[in-house]
Amino acid sequence: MKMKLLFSAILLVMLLPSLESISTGIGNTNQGCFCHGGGEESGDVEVKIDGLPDIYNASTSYNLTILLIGGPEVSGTNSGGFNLNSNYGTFESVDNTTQTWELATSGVEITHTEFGNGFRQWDIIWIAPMDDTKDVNFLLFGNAVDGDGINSNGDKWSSTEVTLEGLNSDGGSVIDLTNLSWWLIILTIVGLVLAVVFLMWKNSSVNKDVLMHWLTTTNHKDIGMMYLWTTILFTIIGLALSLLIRIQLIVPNNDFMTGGLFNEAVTMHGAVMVLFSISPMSFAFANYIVPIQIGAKDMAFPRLNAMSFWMILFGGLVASSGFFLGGAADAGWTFYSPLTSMEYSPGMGISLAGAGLVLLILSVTFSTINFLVTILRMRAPGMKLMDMPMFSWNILFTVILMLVVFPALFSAVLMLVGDRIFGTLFFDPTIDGTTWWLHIFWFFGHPEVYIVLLPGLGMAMEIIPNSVRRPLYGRKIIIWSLVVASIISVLVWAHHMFITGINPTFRKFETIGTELVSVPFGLIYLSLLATFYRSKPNWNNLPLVFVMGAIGIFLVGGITGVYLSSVAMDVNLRGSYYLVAHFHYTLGAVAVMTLGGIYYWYPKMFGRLMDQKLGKWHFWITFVGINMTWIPLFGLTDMPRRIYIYQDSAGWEVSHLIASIGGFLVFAAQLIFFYNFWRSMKRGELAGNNPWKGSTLEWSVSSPPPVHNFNEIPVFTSINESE
Amino acid sequence: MKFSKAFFIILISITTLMLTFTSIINWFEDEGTGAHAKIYDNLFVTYWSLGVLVAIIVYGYFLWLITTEVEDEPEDAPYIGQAPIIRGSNKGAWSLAAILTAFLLILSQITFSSIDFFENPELEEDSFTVKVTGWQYYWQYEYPNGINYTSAAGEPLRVPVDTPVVFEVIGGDVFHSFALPEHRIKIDALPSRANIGWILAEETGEYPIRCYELCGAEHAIMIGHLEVMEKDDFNLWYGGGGTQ
Repeated sequence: MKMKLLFSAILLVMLLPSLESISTGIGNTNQGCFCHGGGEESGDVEVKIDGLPDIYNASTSYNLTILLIGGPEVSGTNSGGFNLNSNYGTFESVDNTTQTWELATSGVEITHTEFGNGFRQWDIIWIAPMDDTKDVNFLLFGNAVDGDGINSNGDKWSSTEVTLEGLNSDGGSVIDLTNLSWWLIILTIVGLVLAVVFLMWKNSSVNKDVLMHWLTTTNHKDIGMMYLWTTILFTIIGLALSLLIRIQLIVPNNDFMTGGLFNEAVTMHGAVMVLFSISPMSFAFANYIVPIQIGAKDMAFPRLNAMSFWMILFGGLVASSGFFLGGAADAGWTFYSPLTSMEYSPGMGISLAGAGLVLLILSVTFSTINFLVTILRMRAPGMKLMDMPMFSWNILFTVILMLVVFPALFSAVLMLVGDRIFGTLFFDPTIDGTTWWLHIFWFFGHPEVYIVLLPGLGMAMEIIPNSVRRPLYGRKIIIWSLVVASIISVLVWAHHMFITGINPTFRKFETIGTELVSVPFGLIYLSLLATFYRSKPNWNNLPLVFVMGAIGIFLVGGITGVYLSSVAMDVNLRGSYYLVAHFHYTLGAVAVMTLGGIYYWYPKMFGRLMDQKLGKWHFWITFVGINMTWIPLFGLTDMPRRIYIYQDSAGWEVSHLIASIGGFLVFAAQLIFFYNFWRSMKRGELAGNNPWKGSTLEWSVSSPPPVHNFNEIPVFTSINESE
Repeated sequence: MKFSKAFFIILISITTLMLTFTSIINWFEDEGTGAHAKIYDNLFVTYWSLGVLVAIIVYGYFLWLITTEVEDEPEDAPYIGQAPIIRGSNKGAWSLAAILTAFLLILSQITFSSIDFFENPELEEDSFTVKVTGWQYYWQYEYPNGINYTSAAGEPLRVPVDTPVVFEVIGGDVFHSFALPEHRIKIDALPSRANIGWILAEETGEYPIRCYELCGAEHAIMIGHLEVMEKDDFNLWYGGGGTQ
């Protein structure tokens, strides 16, 4: 009974948008002409506006022609009429056949005069508004009459709606909040979600206590779990945006999206993937695993940890909320000034992204303090730093890098938001604020890549020795390489600005520095491989399969990165698809490593193994998909990144077609993964405490671990004391 | 066939790598033109060959490592509660680091000799400077004799063949990047600071000019053209104050 009521209510709400008054065309007095009317809209007659540009320029006059095509034969003096409404700009008559209508209920209107009755074609002028950031809607009604002067069935009317984009249009939001229908649709969706939640609540063990538990928990394992779910949500958003990009570029001259919307998709794809998806997903494991690995009962500051989580969740939501509030950020995830200024990006998107970033940075800073104290002060008795598991080591380097570079981003974002809201002129282009932004952003931006990478590498360093049953090769060498790599990483930011006019000698210094990054990473890479020497790899271990796939991808990303470090090559490769392919190969490798990490620690978190067969399908489709997406795009060294449209003559369509198919494969593979993830929680094979024969402390406790991890704190015996 | 799975992974990885580099090679069919392109393309081939060489060595090394697989559980296999065991030699790491560093320093030297050429135009008597300003979404060209027009109406940027021409590039409103992909040259157009670049066109013809920095909603259609003209034709146009 309740269900029926609920569904009836939902149905009613969904139907409401269509219950808006049905217009009867120009018979309506409000539409400017009341001579004819009645009846249904007819398909026999077509109304058209000729002469509209694709994109209008501010304050420019356009000569338009209204056309009625089809309809009844003309038998008398009258043959037709029209009414055209526009929400912006002004209309002007060319001759005495048309008149502007002063009584327009909204916007501006133009209609025919009595003299103009005898035509089915009228010339008018439309003058664009001074502000070319708006999308203009035209609503045209046309009535083709048979000239007998009676509202007979012989008269046929029709209407059409045209949306015209301005030169600096932000592309607008898909959702127009000034339109009541959208509110109803949003309310419907919210209602449906609430209904589903309500029903699930009623019919499952989920109750108020459980909900309150998750909302108020400070346990590092619960927080890690919430990080995982949140980042899965953001990953889906990021992947969906990437699909939009791939659809748009699948054929030349595609009109699936406007330039503004495409920029929003590109920007938010980058920002969500780098800042809210891959990196926090590693921190799901950092939260869950690191305290257990080092033998602690919890993080040093559990409440701060909970705060970090809630801030990153709301930060991500605020940053993405622009899609529903008039347009998301659209200046690229690097937010180059002065495109981000109020003058060139008047929408709310960038301010919202700034607010989201502030929350993210606060979250990151709290996490940093928390992990530093936890790792440095709360290790089990007897565990020296050098004895610490490699994943914890990598998290330590990650948080140190975060501590060094995130304040730079914080100041940059505060200055940007200050410029936009208070007019502080930090990034005033006339005093070269552009270069100032580049320096400060890339001082953060380059180490950020390592912040994303190191946890993934840490997972590989756990998984490989474990799956090949031999100790990690060159453990100390790896640790010292990480030290060197971290130091170099904060010194080479200017390789992102090679051709902005910085000093030539400085450029050479940065070239050498950037190339030298490959030395520590080369050592780490070869050490990981050397672990295989005289070992017993188990290729049925899904984590190992993922990590090796990632390592194969990573080499391509690494080698192509050396090309870009050369200042002379960067002159041509900067801003091209070659660069985009390069960093997708490195960050894609990190994503695949992180997937390996999920397969590795899933049994510890849920007590069950993920399905092997589905996992292999997931791996192979992902691997083929990533390569299929980015191999063709490596060839497009002359195609600028972030362009929403390209011409037939450019010869890029085959590459993009293949890449788009690859993109869909990657997405499809992740659907398999989410299904596997969900299904294995209930139905997976029971894992036991130590399914992978792991050697780190998290495998000594039950799966999932008890609330406080250890009944008694483990005592660790170091065997490295002799060294 | 205990190696089969490993072998499969390696095989796919190597194929991946080869495909990647093959696609880059394809790009050479679209050969560049002008003085910069020769140097740049040579540099690219150098890096490309070395990159493939390194990749083959690394993948080959890994293939060899896989063949050393053992039957029984190794003696030092990790088990729970065991402290990490140190494995590997520092000497090897140091020598490897030294080799890599030397290799990369040599690469840098190759790069530096090219960038010096890009930076120091070999000007001739009839060389001149065109001031290029980037606007949303067109380019404005100003010649020394006062000719001043934009690419908005589709008019090309005209330069004479076999003459070094300097571009002084600046952003009129936002950050653009002025690029001649066929001539392998790109100059960032920042508001408030002019950057210098030059070309020496060696073939007449029309070439695309594109913007390589996101500059707004219509960034994609910010396309201009470079027309490399015979010297006489150019002088006629230039002397006539911009009429043909």
